[in-house]
Amino acid sequence: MTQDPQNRPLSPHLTIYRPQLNSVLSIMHRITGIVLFFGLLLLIFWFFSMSVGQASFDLFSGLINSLIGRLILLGSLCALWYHFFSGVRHLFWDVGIGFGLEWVQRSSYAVLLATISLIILTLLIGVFTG
Amino acid sequence: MMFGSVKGLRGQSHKGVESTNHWISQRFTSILLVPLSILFVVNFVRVFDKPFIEVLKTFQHPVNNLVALLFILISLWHYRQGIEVVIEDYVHDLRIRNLTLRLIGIMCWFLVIVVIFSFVSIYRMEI
Ligand code: HEM
Repeated sequence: MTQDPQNRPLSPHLTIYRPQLNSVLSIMHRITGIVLFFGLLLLIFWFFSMSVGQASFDLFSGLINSLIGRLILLGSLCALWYHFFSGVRHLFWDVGIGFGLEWVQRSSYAVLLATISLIILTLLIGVFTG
Repeated sequence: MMFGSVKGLRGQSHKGVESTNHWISQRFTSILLVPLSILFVVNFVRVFDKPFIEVLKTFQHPVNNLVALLFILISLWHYRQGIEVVIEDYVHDLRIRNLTLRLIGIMCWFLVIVVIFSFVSIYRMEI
């Protein structure tokens, strides 16, 4: 190993690393942040089509209310609430709250639980006011 | 200055004071997005499948209009801050990195113009 300074193993050894809840949640924050941009684009198109007039709005509204459109919206909603709670946890870490393995573990479960609850709550609001 | 910026290098991670500023403004947009995303999503799920007139009326209301506008603009700003860090982590070729960051910057400014235009015309539209 020391013989070849160009080719030393890097840490963490991702290929043999057992995935753990915390590392998975951490990379998910990044992935949801990247994915959310596409949801944001959709939203921007929606408002743009509205500003052009009824004909273009109806066309675009039909697209996002199709089955595929709704699945994309649902995916964006899940990504948003996950990123939201994971982001709030980041903000607590930034002011020094919530460190220590035990608290990190607990807050991981809290983030997941809060995400699922808010997804369900949002869908309920959509159903009962729709 | 010890951490003097590298000439022509886009991105923040090579500059001392600027990277602190970048970090602080990233927290700033994150905190703003907490209330804005709740308010916006509650509005959105209630109207996204409604007919044109109803959706238009909702977003012609000044409060709803402003909440949606701010949510989108601050999300764009926050996205640009975030994606910059991501690109600095993965794109090591400085020429490609600078180019990517510049293109993303142009795209975001273009979207800002589209969004402001849309919200102003929605607000002023006669039914
Ligand atoms: C809904 C409210 C939101 C909150 C509270 C929030 C919070 C955060 C925080 C605290 C970070 C920094 C994480 C770190 O220190 O590594 C972050 C990163 C990021 N956010 Fe958000 N965010 C929100 C919405 C969004 C939206 C709508 C988008 C996309 C359009 C987005 C895209 C990103 C990206 C790309 C990153 C960089 C990820 C990384 O460095 O790994 N966020 N967010």
